[in-house]
Amino acid sequence: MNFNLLDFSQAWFLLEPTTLLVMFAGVFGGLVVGAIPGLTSTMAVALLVPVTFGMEANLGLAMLIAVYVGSISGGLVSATLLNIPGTPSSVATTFDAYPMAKRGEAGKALAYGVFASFVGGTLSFFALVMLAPLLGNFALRFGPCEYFSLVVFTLTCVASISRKSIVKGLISACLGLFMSTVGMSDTDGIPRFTFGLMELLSGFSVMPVLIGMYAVSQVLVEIQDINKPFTIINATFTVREFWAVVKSFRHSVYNVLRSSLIGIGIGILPGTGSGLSNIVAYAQEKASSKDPDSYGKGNPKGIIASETSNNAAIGGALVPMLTLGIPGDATTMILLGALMIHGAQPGPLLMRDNGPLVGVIIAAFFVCNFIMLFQLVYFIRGLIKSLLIPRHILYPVIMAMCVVGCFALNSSMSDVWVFFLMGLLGFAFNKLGFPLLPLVLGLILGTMAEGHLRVSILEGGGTLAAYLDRPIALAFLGMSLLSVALSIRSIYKERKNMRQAAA
Amino acid sequence: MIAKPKDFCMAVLLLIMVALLYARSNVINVGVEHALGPMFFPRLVLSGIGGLSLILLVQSLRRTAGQPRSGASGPRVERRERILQWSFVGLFLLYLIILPVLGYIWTTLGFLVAGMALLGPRKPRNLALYAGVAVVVTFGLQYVFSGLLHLFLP
Repeated sequence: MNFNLLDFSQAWFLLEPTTLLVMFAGVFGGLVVGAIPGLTSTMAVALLVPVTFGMEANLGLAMLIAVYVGSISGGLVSATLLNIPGTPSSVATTFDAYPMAKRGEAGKALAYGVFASFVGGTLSFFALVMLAPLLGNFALRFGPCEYFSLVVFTLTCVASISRKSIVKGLISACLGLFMSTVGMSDTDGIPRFTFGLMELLSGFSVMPVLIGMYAVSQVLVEIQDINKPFTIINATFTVREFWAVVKSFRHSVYNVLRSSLIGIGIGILPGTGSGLSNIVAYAQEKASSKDPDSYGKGNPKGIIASETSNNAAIGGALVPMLTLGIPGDATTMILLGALMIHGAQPGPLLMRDNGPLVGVIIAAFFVCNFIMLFQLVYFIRGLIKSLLIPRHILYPVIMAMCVVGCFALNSSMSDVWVFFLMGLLGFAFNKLGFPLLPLVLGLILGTMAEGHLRVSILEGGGTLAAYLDRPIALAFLGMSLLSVALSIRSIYKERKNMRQAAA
Repeated sequence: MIAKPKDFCMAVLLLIMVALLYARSNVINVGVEHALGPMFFPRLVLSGIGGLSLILLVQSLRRTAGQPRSGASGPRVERRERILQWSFVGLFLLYLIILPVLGYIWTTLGFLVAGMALLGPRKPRNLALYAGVAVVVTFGLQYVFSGLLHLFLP
């Protein structure tokens, strides 16, 4: 294996006091956001991206990774004490953590979740270090046909798994691709679909679209539940209890390894990530147990499976983002947007052209896992208090932060208007059952897809013949067709079951 | 009979949008016309949206077993919550309109207090808390963005 692409030459920077302080604050902020129901890791990272504009790329990206790690782990707290997953990545945690908390073992449930999160994150770091150079070297063989096929594969894959309707997923992806064509054409310098608006000449800025789609639409959705009361279970978490739980992990080695592998594997697939991995890992653990009936009634092994896999998915999701420039989930897509703001171009050459920065991101992920463990063990009481923050105070603050962040991007109100309109569009998409992820992915990858498609057709003398000689490109296109076919098959199967149930 | 009115309306809207944008692509001056010119990719994508919208249109006319008649995707929202949602959107829109006129500090202070009062309880004690939070957040953001990061605010 060639590890030349891994460049940790600037990783020492993470041990500087300022960087450590920023990462410490980032992890804590992420934990708080993750713990509050309705606020997702994607929103947490999106809100913080504008803060990184004035920072060095290394520091800014390290902070965003810290927020990412913190927010995925924070979901554990509300899953245990409120029976509400703080983020989608903790849905399966509620199944056993809440019953444990109800019978007076909240501290123990939290301890299982905390250590499982740490182990899952750390194991996925090693997977990231192993897989990133492998995939990075593979990506160096890519030409225009492979680039375009990779984008097609990513979009079809995301569209297939996002929601129940693959048609809506594909429409969403195509709308994103179309939005990427607005503005001055990269190849020809011709303005397209600007309707005479100077502000549209440079096209849609990625960050206002992302912040609008993921923060505004989420806040609007959450306002629906603003009057829903919460009941918080009291928790006593002691460090002694935590170490006792750590010792008992030796009985769950197989569960930890399997859940980590599930998390890493699902994280690597475009568009999935921790939201799906925790459910799959939980189901696998339950299916392989000799006592499946004990799950859902407070079995710590269920918490271990869910929390190990959701943190392992972070490393998995970083693999395609750093090596192919293809985000593994919505949060890594925001990270990719942040990389673009700091001058890096998404695509298979990201690792070769920005080696030191990629090295800092990978190393930051490792360091943040330890910071997360430390904070969850020693500051969890403060984190539990964050559950008491009233949501009617939070939502206007989030909106004001979004406005300031979008304006700071180019010191322009037009970005703020794009953010607002995209927020409304995201909300409408949510209501109509159209997934958001394919749209924003299409917007990010559209320019790359267009350029490479045109070059590949020129290479084939005006036809798609060039693809016939490219096995990697054909494999990507084949997998695209397969993902669509599998999705259609599962929809028909589901409908058949529904018809049988209705009969 | 339309089984899923929301999907039907969306499909029709998309088809109209595709037609308008396709027509627009013909009037954009691209210099010398060639098959792989600047309009090749947008037209290809528009064709894709058009084709998929037609499929969505056909699907919206057929009702599948066990599916609700409206085709709604999420849970039903109470009328009170819906009014709250759109009032908040209206307030936010007002904030964005006034922001360039009055500047960051006054409009943000006003938006935060009004937003919190709209979504939460409105007793004098609560209003005092909202005012306090608004002052801290407004000046805190100004300090971070202008003071520390040297970025402009509206």
